[in-house]
Amino acid sequence: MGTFYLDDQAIAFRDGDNVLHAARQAGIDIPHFCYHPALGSLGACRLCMVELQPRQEGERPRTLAACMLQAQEGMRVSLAAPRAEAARQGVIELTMTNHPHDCPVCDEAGECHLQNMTVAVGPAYRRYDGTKRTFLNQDLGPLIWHDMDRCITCYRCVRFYQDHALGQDLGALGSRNRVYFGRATEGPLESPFAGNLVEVCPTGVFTDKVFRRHFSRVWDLQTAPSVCPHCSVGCNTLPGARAGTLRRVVHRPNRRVNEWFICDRGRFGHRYAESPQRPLSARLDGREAAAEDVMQAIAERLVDAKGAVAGLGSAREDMEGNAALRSLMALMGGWYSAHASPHLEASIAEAAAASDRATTLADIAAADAALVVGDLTGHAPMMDLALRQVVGANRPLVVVHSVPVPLAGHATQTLCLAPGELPAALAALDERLRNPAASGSVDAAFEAICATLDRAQRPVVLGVAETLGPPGCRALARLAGSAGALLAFALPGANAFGTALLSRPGDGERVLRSVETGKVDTLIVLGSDPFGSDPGAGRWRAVRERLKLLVVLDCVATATANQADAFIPLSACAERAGTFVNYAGLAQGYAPAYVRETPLPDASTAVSELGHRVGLARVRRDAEILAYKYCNRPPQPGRTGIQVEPAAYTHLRASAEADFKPVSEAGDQWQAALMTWYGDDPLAAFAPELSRLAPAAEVCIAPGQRGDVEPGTAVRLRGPSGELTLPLRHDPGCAKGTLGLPRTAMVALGVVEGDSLDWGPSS
Amino acid sequence: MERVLSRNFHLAEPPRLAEYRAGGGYEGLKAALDQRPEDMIDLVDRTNLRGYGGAGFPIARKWKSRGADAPHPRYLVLNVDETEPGSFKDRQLLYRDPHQVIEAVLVTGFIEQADHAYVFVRGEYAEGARVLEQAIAEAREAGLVGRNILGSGFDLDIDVHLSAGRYICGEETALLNALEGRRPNPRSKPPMPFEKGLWGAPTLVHNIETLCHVPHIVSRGPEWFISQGVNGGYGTKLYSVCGEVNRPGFWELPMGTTARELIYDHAGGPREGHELVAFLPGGTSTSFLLPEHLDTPMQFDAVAAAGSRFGTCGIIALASGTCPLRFLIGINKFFARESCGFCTPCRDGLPYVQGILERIEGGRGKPGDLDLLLELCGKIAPNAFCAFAPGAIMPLESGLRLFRDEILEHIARGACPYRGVH
Amino acid sequence: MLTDDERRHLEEHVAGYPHKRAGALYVLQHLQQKYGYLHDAALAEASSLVGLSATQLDELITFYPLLLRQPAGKTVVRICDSIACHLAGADALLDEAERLTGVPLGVVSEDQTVSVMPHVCLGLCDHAPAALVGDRQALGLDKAALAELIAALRAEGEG
Repeated sequence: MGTFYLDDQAIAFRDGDNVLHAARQAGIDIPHFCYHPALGSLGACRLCMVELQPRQEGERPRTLAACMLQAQEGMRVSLAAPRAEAARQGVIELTMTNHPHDCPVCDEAGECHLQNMTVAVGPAYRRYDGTKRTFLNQDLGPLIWHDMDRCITCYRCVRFYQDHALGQDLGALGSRNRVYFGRATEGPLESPFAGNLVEVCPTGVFTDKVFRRHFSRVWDLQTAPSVCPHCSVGCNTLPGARAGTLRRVVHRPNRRVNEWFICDRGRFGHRYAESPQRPLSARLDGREAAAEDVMQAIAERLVDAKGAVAGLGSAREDMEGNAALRSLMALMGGWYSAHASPHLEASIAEAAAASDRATTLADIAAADAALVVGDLTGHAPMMDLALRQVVGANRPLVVVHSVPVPLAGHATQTLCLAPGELPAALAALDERLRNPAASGSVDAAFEAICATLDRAQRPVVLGVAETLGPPGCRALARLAGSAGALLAFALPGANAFGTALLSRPGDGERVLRSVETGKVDTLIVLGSDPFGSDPGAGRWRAVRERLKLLVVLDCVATATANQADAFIPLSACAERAGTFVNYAGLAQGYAPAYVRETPLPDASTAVSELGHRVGLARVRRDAEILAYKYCNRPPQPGRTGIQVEPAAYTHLRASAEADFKPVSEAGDQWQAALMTWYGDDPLAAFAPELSRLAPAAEVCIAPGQRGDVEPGTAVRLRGPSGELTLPLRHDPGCAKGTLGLPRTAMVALGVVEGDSLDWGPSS
Repeated sequence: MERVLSRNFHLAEPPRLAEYRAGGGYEGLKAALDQRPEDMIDLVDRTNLRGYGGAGFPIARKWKSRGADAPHPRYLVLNVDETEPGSFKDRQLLYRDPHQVIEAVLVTGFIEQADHAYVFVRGEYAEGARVLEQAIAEAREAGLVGRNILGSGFDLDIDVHLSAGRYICGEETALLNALEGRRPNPRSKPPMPFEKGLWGAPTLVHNIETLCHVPHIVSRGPEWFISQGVNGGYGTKLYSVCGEVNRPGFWELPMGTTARELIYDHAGGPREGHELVAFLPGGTSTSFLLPEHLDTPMQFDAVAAAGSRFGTCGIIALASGTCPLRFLIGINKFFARESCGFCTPCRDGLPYVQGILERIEGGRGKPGDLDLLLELCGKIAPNAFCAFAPGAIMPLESGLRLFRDEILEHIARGACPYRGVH
Repeated sequence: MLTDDERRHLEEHVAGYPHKRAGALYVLQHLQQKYGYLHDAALAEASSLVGLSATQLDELITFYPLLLRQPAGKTVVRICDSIACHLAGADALLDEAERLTGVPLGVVSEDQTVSVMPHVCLGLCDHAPAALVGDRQALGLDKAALAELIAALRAEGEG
């Protein structure tokens, strides 16, 4: 700690701070291009020149880059000194020699850091009369537009892409005044975080290609603080809309979640809201109808159903909507659950019950060792980005996986196990950690993992709840406790933690069984897809015929929505206010950024309206109490969120207990394992541009096992709910005896992770 | 005067090990292995031996800065990336006497207690790298390189890294990036390479000519070394003269030999029928000196006192009849093209300058151009990231001032006044 | 394709560094020697040896003038145009080279035998103007000597 002086203003600094950073902390923005708070100093652009006043007589003042100048006690620095100002103007003049003067038609206009700096620093007029350097641009895929002529060579893009996000397919090519930021060959950027190039680039080299096709000047965008609905991390976002349509999403800083970045699922997944398939009209018995009429018809049929009703909420629907559905069911005497799969419901409860340490992404990034189970890239991409900081700092990362996962390529140690082997393996690690004397009782790979965790001061343990299942989640939580590690689970759905809070022990099984046993013939589905893509859809599909009335409220055209007897279209996330509780129990509110030309109701409004029409006007008030019970008051949009205290969810332990089933012995049967990717999400699946990057549907096994066939051969898979043919791929990232399958195949076959499957050549 | 560094240059082929040893080779290594590193640092310190790669940093001060207690592994890097236009002395050492280079690395490595040595050779000197690699193999066979050198218990292996072009690779931090397989942009200092160099380990980077003196100093003593120089210079120096002289070449001479002796006695004076107009004393990255400076002893302090830099001390002469603007264009073309592209002033400033220079030469100069050029010099040199741009600006800025009238005449006439003269 | 021996040799070399990427330049030079230039397949081989992606290798290749990502002539002639050679007429030689080859500098002659390009100081300032012909030196060139040189390279290349 210390104080230095910037033009006579005292600035506090911490040891190791540079002058630029310390001044920013004090609210003074020294002009800069290449410095970025998350990427640090580089010293390349030379815009942040300041004058360092001499300490002793006889010394001359020096102009130096503030970002490279370490703050020292009593140091006197001037931003206003004429020499420093001249230096900065010199840099602007030189930077602008090659920058095109296409500002009026540039995508970056209105948020161009280069333009801001040029106007702030000057000179305002150019005298360079030479030719401007030009480049050929590359096609970087469906998400990012490339315009290299605008480049000012600040190296932010490669520093983000390679150094921060550990991507390998964007680089700095060439040299002198022809440095080119691009790929060896044209093609889609491979990083799940490539979209951040749009925001880290200080000018218009990398712009949002999707936004570009539906362009608006950014000052014409309507915005409001929102929360990403595409996974359980709950990144803060700023959607921008114009003329009643959603145009783009950018990150919004929140130190408790995402300070600088979002993933590409979060940035481009919003296109579900403008998908041509998006249902915007209410339907009754297969025909479009006025929403009001459909509401009334549903209400009448619900009254007829007389309690033979159940409600299925969703982990991707907000607290308010789920609370309203639960309140409605409570008043109507029906069961409520938010999860189509009792197995998944138990996994979430188990994981959430153990997530009482409110681990943030910053905590994960600062860990000095990390153990990961499952594919974080596919289930919580921003947790993966946080882990990449651990890797980038050369700290150990252990990845335990059943199928190929991107982080394994960055791991210092990997352990490849079939899904059914995970709980026992984690229990063995836990046992060894608790009992160091038992070293030698486990094999060398396990011993190495324990040694890594033992050595660490700030270890973190992360797992994918869906992959682990209830026994695996429990084992991992114990292991984290024994290792003294911070713990976080990637949960299935933006509000999975919240719906776990709203659930009671065994609800999921009760809802499903009530339909299976015929006690219930009327089902209200809110934002779920039990007859389509939800895990557990196998059991549901079998009972579809038993339902007399299927009511669906949703904002996307799921298979379940498409077969609804009555359908009410809902507003998309960016169109409404609501609350999500993220993986760490942080309740965050979000606000509507815009209103559609024909406004659609949010989930709680629609459900409350149904309640009202069946004579249960209390639903709205009950729901409000229930929705905010765990965080005491509605979290305000744009604030940092309210942490749900562990005392508020002791009941989760009971939920987990009620549904806990020990893992079944798989024997020597082939086990199914989910192969996912960073765009894999029920909402983002409707985003056309992002979906173009989805990997091909294949079944993946490690080479050289019994019954193996040539890669590329079509193979037939048989599961409890159906059969399927897929081409076979070999990948050594699969565990022995494991069949890696895409989500669609898992659902169609009716299996979850670790279930056994038969397969063989299709002929 | 005794030839020290060039004592084997008269041979048609570079000497093999036996031949090198017969001439007293590897005696310096033997002498060194019998001494304590700290004593040898003191010996060299007394000679004030400075780096001949351009920066002129005293080598003993580098050793002391790193300190005897620096952590291991420690690296020694020999910089043979000579690309400074007008400098071709390092090439001679590499191509003509590779065992001398190896001995210098071994002695210095012992002084530094280094764990591994890399010789970084510019790609254009591939033939020289092959010569050196053969010599290393020969020396390794003879127990001079590798484990337990000459039974001393000291281990040092030497690897040759053949680069693939680019002047910036000679900048020591860019060179470290290049060795690590990264883009050879310079690194920020601090940390200095002696603190965090190659793969973050303490690393000392040396010029080949500097290092070749070390075994001689160690075996023959600082007094002997000092006595080799004249006019305030110590030791001998591989001088060279090129450009518009009658007999361009290189010569090992006492440090402190005057520019007049070099240009007139050794290089035969300016080309026939012309006068000497100016000369760059130490490669292109130095300021011009004038005929009035001809009696300046070519050693660090005297050249600095005359207003320029000793640099690599490769003299480049400009004679009457040649357009000085053309000379500046030739120099700046090199720097604009060799800029690594890392920092703005250098990357965008030097091509801007080049455009203006070429425009003036092409008869399209404007009245304010000279002032604009001088203003750009003031914006480029002090604001750049590394020493490359200041080096580029030195000849340019001094040339713009020196040849002011000639440049203004270009602008006034709308043509080169020298066209047709030569 | 690299032979098993070549691959083993390169693997051993790469293993000699604390980090594999330090061996990138050596591997790329070897591959260029073998194939004439660094095509995509060569990059894939280098990638498997040093663990850098094609783009990361390209970051290096495009920085170094002696590494070639595009096909070059059978012999590459690099004429120095730095100060000593500049004063001795390098520009005129480069113009002459374009005339002799019939293609711009840096472009392969139609018969694929030669490409000529300007290059930085070769450390042959005492023999200006100088050039590298492949990795041989050509000293004190003039137009006649250049014409002879290029004619010889074309004859040799076609023969």
